[in-house]
Amino acid sequence: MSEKNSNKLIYYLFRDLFFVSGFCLLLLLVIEDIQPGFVSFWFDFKYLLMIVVISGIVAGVASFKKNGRINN
Amino acid sequence: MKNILKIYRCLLILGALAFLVWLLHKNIIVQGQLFLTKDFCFPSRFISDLYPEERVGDVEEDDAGNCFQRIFVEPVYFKVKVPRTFARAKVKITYANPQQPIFQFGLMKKKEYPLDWRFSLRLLENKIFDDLSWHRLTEQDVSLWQKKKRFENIYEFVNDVPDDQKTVTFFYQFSPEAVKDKTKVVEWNAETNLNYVDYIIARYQSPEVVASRALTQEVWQENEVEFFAGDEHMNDHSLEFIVSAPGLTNNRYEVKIRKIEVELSRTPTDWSTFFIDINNYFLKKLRNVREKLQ
Repeated sequence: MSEKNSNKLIYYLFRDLFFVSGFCLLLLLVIEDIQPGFVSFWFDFKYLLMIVVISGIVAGVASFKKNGRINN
Repeated sequence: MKNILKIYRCLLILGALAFLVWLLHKNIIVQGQLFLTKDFCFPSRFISDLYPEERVGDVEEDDAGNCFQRIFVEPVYFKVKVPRTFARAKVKITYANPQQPIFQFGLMKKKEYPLDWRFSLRLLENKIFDDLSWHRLTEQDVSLWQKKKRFENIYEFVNDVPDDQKTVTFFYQFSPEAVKDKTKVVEWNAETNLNYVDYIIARYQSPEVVASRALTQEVWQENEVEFFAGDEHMNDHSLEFIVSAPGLTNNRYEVKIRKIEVELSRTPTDWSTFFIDINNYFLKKLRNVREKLQ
């Protein structure tokens, strides 16, 4: 697989992870607000937040690289 | 690459759904039992520290590595956050109480108005009874003390409460038909003169010593009490407990609490009741949301 394709794959993988985990985080925050403890009793929000932030950053960097190569 | 991405997206969505199902499973408590422990060395998601702050000390650690909180002024409280309503709550407390004669524990009933302070109280320790040299019988969670041995078991006593001798009750109630002469049965309090009493019956089991002074600086004891903990005891998704030691403040005594273990139980959910249970669970949550919005 060429470097261009691997950058593209990383971008798509992390972009999708970012959207799904971000949507999950929002949904869980709404549920937690309605029913306190539903999530926080069993799971620490910070892990999901970390996934969202890291996948967002990686997707952002990969997107920058991908677009940078296209512009070059 | 497109196929890989499709499979990956499906896996992500399935993973998210599985996570939501897992959370639902944890909150419904399918197995019907939930065990919670509060060791004061570590914060607990479910069980709070003792409060109000001005009546208790900070969390301390002794040489043996036991963490505890001191109670200086009574009563104090702690909350147990619960994911749903349970039928019963068994609570085991590990504590050190060198001097305080009476040590009680209770579960707050649902508050109907802000100053509604009603509790279901249980006896954790009564040193006055424990120090008696009377003949003692204990069956299940009931104890009977006899100044002179007359009854072989508690069943015999409660079915034939003597009307020629005086009986004192504490956290115990006879059925009305069992008592022939009501003047001979009185409720115990700290002023009761036991010289004029022949029998004491109480819903009480003496605490067990779990660590003696030789090993640690304290005599750590534990005792277990049980409550009905249905809807009528739920306050804002929590069960609120009271720790009461009448006279503690005036006598300048103190009690240390080291560990709180709570066993919550309800009818387990099986496949025949699973969907009814889920339905009831969501209906209840929706009702809570509606109440919150009003």
